[in-house]
Amino acid sequence: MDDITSILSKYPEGVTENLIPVLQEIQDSTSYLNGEIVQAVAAYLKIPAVKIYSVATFYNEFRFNPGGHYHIQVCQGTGCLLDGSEQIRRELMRLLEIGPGEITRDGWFSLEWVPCLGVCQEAPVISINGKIITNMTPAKVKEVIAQYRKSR
Amino acid sequence: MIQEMTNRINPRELQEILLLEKPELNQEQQAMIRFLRRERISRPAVFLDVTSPSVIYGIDQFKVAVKEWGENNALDVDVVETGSLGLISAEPVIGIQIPGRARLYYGQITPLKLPSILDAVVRQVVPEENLIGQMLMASQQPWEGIPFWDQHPFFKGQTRYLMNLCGVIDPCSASEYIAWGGYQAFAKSLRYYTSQELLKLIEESNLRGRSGSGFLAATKWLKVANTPSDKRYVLCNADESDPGGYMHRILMESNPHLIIEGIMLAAYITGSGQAIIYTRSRYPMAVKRLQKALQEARSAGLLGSDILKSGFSLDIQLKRGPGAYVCGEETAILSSLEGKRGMPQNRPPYPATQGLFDKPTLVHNVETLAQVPLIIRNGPEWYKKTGTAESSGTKLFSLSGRISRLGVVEVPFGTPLKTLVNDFGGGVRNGQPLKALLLGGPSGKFVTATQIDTPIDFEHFEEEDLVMGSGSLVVLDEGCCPINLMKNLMDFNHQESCGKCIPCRDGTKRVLSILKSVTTRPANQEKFDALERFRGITRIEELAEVMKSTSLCGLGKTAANPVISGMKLFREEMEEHVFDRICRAGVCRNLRSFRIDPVNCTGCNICMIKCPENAIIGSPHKVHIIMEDICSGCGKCYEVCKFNAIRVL
Amino acid sequence: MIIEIDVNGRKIKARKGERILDALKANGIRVPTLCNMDGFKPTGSCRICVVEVEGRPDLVPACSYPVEEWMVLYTHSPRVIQARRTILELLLAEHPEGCLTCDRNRGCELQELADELNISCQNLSHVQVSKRIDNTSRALIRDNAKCILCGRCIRICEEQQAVAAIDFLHRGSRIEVGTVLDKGLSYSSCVNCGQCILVCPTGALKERNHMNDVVRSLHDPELLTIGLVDPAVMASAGEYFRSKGGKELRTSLFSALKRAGFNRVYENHWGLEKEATILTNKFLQQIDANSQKPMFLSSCPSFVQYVIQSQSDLIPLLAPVKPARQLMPMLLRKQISAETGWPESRIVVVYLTACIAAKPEAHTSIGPGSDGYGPDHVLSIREMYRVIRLLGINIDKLGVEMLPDEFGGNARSGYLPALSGGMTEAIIRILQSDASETSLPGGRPARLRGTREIREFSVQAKGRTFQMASISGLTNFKNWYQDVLDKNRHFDLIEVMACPGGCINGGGQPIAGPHTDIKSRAKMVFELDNLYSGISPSEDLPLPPGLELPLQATLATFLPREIIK
Ligand SMILES: Cc1cc2nc3c(=O)[nH]c(=O)nc-3n(C[C@H](O)[C@H](O)[C@H](O)COP(=O)(O)O)c2cc1C
Ligand code: SF4
Ligand code: SF4
Ligand code: SF4
Ligand code: SF4
Ligand code: SF4
Ligand code: SF4
Ligand code: SF4
Ligand code: SF4
Ligand code: FES
Ligand code: FES
Ligand code: FES
Repeated sequence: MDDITSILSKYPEGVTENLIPVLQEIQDSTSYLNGEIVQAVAAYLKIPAVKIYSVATFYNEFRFNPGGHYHIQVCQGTGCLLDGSEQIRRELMRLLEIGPGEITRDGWFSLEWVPCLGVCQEAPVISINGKIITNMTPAKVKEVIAQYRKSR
Repeated sequence: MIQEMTNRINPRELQEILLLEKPELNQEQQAMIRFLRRERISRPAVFLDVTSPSVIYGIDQFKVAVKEWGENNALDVDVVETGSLGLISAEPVIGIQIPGRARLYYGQITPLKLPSILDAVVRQVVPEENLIGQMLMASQQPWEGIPFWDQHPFFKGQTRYLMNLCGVIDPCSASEYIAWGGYQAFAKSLRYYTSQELLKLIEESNLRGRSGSGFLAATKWLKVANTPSDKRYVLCNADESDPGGYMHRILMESNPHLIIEGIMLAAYITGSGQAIIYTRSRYPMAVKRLQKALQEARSAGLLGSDILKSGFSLDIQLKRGPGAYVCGEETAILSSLEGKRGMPQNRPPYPATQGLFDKPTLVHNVETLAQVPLIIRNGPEWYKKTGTAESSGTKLFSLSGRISRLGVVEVPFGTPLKTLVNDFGGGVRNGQPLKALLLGGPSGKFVTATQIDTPIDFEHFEEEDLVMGSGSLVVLDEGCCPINLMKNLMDFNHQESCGKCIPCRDGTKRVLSILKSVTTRPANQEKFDALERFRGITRIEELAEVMKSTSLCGLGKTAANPVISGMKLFREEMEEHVFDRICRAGVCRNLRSFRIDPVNCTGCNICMIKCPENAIIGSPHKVHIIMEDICSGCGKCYEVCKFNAIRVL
Repeated sequence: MIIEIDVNGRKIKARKGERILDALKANGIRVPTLCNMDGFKPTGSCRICVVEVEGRPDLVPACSYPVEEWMVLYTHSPRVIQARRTILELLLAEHPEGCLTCDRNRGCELQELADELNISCQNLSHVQVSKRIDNTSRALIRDNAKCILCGRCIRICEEQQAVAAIDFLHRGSRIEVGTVLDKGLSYSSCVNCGQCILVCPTGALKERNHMNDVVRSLHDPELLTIGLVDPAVMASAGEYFRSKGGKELRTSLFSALKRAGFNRVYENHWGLEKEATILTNKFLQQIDANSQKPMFLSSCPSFVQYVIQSQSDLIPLLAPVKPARQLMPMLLRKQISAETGWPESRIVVVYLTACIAAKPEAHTSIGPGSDGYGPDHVLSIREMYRVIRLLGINIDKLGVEMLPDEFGGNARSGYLPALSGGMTEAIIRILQSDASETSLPGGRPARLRGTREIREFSVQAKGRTFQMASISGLTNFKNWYQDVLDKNRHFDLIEVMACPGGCINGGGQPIAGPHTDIKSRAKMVFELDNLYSGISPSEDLPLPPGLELPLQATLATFLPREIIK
């Protein structure tokens, strides 16, 4: 809570237009948002709490769960689409039994669809905690997931 | 001597120089400029293209590799981070320059290959493997018999006005940008011209918005400048989220100062004291570079109050868009900047009269603003020489999909599409025939091979009913299923719809569900999906028409574009999907079905065990059977059968 | 500037810059709307109001597009009708097919629209979407499956009520209306005013239903069911029945309730008069104590809730007086039990009211029999109407059979508190009961009357001048009070009613679309008040016989809402 207060104090009180930068900065340091943060920001910026929740749920960037130990991002750029990222997504959802924006029960994996990762030549592409894995196939997905599961 | 100069390079000093109309440079100053342009170096330098794609290809390892090589050879080597030349498929790209000789660019090299290349170059030998070409540089001796990089098919024929410094200079350094003539347009404008005069230039230049609509920029500028208000804003729309589009990212990462100068000029001309760059959180490198570049411009005295003692004050803020495609729409950005949900607003009032915090706001695309310094620097007459009668200047395109060379190209308006694909892009990958192009991303339209001669300009695009979009060009070959792509683009629009208005929120959902029913084989064909398939197809055009004419913002209005154009162009394939239930490209895997050849089947049981849908029945050593209505077409059985008994239908 | 535009081939006059919708309305052309709310900034989100403008490729929303000189409009061209129908079909394709069991059946804007646009078959296959029902609140229930995301409730809650308990959450097709962290209304800042119900075009919002409990109790011979009718009921109940004057409606409504099985039916008049008396005493005490602070009336539960959560510095300023709706059930139980020997535990008091916020309040007191204070069940006017219908009573055919039962003594101002400013007027009547001090013609502070939402006035009584204000609508209050603080203005007595106009516009009132005619409801109240205001109440409103309670002592000591929290 202390860092939240110190982040807040960098912004003028009651200026609603700073809501998004404030949330971004808080999330950068806490990695996700929760009710306590929402209430603190609401009180400081003088915005109804529900508005903050409403704004935060509108944008992809804000999260209300901590995210998995391994955060898997799947490229949904056109390059990857043409080369079958759909299969990759489906395979991941089937294997992990979660959808995008969700986190497995054990907290080990979370899934997210992201725009072009910039390696379209090697499509389809996924990224696990920032590590790019290229030329994915459903079979490779299985392997990779098994590998990461083992590291538990 | 040069080393001494490095420490003395002072942006302020340069600023003085650039301020002079016809700068009379003394020797030392000329040397300084040459040093900054790296037309004079005292030791070998390696230029690393550090941009987001090259980072993925591991450009960071090269820093270490170069350093090691330097240590091994007891040589001091400068390592300079630059932006990208635009040729993404050649990443990692590296420039090598030794004193007195022209810079050489290499692509697709590995840290292992690097030392041998460096060894050769310092010995004045140029290995030709992986070579892109040499760069023509003043007072640097060109390599004999070595092609120049602009003869490389990817670059030959491009008109690189915006891109000319990309991959050449250190992107964030204001000094380097200035040494290449940057910020002069701005400085001169402040010194010698009134905003009215400059506005005239913009009007005469025929500058048109690069985000797709081709809207005449001057119309907006006049509105903003002439709406009475105590405050005005310039908003640079850098929220590029088209899947398939990455030209803004490359430009922001490779030459942020150009964009910043464009914003400065726009602000001065429209009388705005505040400007905002709205870019994406997901572009961390672009954010970092823009931030650093802004910092440098600030310390060079080009931002702040009373800039260059002209009385004009300007502040540029960088905001990170927290991730929503619809926040590329101009009124949605305004909502987002005001701390609200990024939902588009009704127009009128237009942002030009009532924008951010209800003040007149000039909203432009990154690329549009980057054109402004060119126009001011060279004058509208010069500018209009490039391009066509009604579309002046150049346009950036990002090439992706099934194309041999991927990257960002800059072409004058009027260039035929064919040139982009065949010449710059090197044609379809693996020499396959071209099936179609998709221009304009998720709100774009397909272009078939027959239309590929169309020149790229607003006139012809309107005539041919094509969408230019912000410049993403996706190449499809016969291995791509357009129906499946249509479905995926609709899925994107559906996910990215803000949900405010019914035609878009529910329309995209409905069209998506129709397309899904067309591209998948439902477990039970009698049910909902089959009904949806036939009923839906008959209504898809009507839904699209209503979405187009009634949606609140551009997203909903154009969401059905790919579907409508695709249904026209790929009627046959659509019918195959709908009636014959096959996908000739084999992409809609769900449409495949499998059958077991009783002659070959040994009853080994393995397919039954592996089938994820439990669609196979049979007892050991007897012929197995696939229940077609349960089979999802995954192909697992086909993969595992060792007896070649599974047939694809 | 008045200009002429061409609509459907006819010229009509319009003001330049006004919304197309308003111009059309003024000229008798109806264009359907869903998300529009007059008096609020248009959002243009439903797109059902689109019209065709010659020369434009797309259709424009009439509710938000301004009129311009050159316009040639078509409001019902085939293209427009097709677009509206398709939009509606898209909505209906995901809307539950549950009209028959829906609260808003036959009173639903969506249903009417489907009828108006002649949707005769569903060309888009129907999809069942499961969406969460928020039934955490004791006042109202949200069924998001029926929500068409018009955003009207959100705007009312934020812009009119300054509460902002709800907003859009998520994006795209996952968008829904919800509360902070999706926890449900009872964990939000909702003050239970029910204003959102009044503006919802569909059955997505409704009050928590107490009907079944009441009907069961009416049929149970073991229970004595007592009706307690709030004056605001009388203001609008006529809208459900063939219109009658206030007096007839009063008697026939009471007859109907008796026929429905209420053993006794009382008006809340005496209680309200008593409340006014106690408030007056408190007020005078405070004045005598020379307090510089204003006293806030605490009659409106939503206002009290609002103060507790958003303006807690005002809590000490709330009049520490139990409202009549809490006081009367207790007195009635005591009295009836004393009279008839019926055990208090089997006396059920049903409060019939316009106030949704009375529902959670009732739950916080204890059920039949205990020495709880509040009513056992609370029926909104809408529910009351349903009970009457359910039990087969045709109110229009009822003569003057029965009058309300008598309780307490004469009440003069019993009708007034249905209106914003009414309780204040009741207090003024008491203050000015020495006729000589009456400062205003006819003994009636004229500026108090009417439906204006912010009223300030000074009143002469007891040899001095009091500054008073009556405010309705919470945003009105918020802004007004900020201004009072900023300008350091002084008030002695402030009455705040959460619903604009007061209980005649309460969350339990009949839903008459977004433009409820409050004025005619107010007129009805004045009409009834005229009939009874001649009565002079006994000076100190003695307690009814047989009730020996240290009432005065207990009454004054607690805040109504402490128990609600
Ligand atoms: C859904 C949607 C997304 C958009 N995304 C972008 C974008 O990512 N980048 C952009 O520059 N313009 C985008 N636009 C266009 C902007 O609304 C706006 O027209 C543009 O910034 C104006 O710039 P211009 O005049 O320079 O073309 C988008 C529009 C819509 C409707
Ligand atoms: S068209 Fe789509 S994105 Fe645009 S306002 Fe409507 S719902 Fe939102
Ligand atoms: S795997 Fe092949 S051989 Fe074995 S049971 Fe299946 S079809 Fe027959
Ligand atoms: S294709 Fe897949 S689902 Fe169909 S039978 Fe073979 S393994 Fe089973
Ligand atoms: S909300 Fe209206 S349309 Fe929906 S079920 Fe209820 S009555 Fe029918
Ligand atoms: S209106 Fe039609 S659907 Fe509704 S109850 Fe009557 S017959 Fe049934
Ligand atoms: S009842 Fe009142 S406070 Fe609660 S959500 Fe509805 S309008 Fe808002
Ligand atoms: S609950 Fe009712 S008023 Fe609120 S958004 Fe849904 S349909 Fe509209
Ligand atoms: S104004 Fe009346 S109906 Fe509305 S909340 Fe207050 S007491 Fe209830
Ligand atoms: S489309 Fe996936 S990396 Fe570019
Ligand atoms: S999905 Fe259709 S050609 Fe394939
Ligand atoms: S009423 Fe006009 S858009 Fe909803």
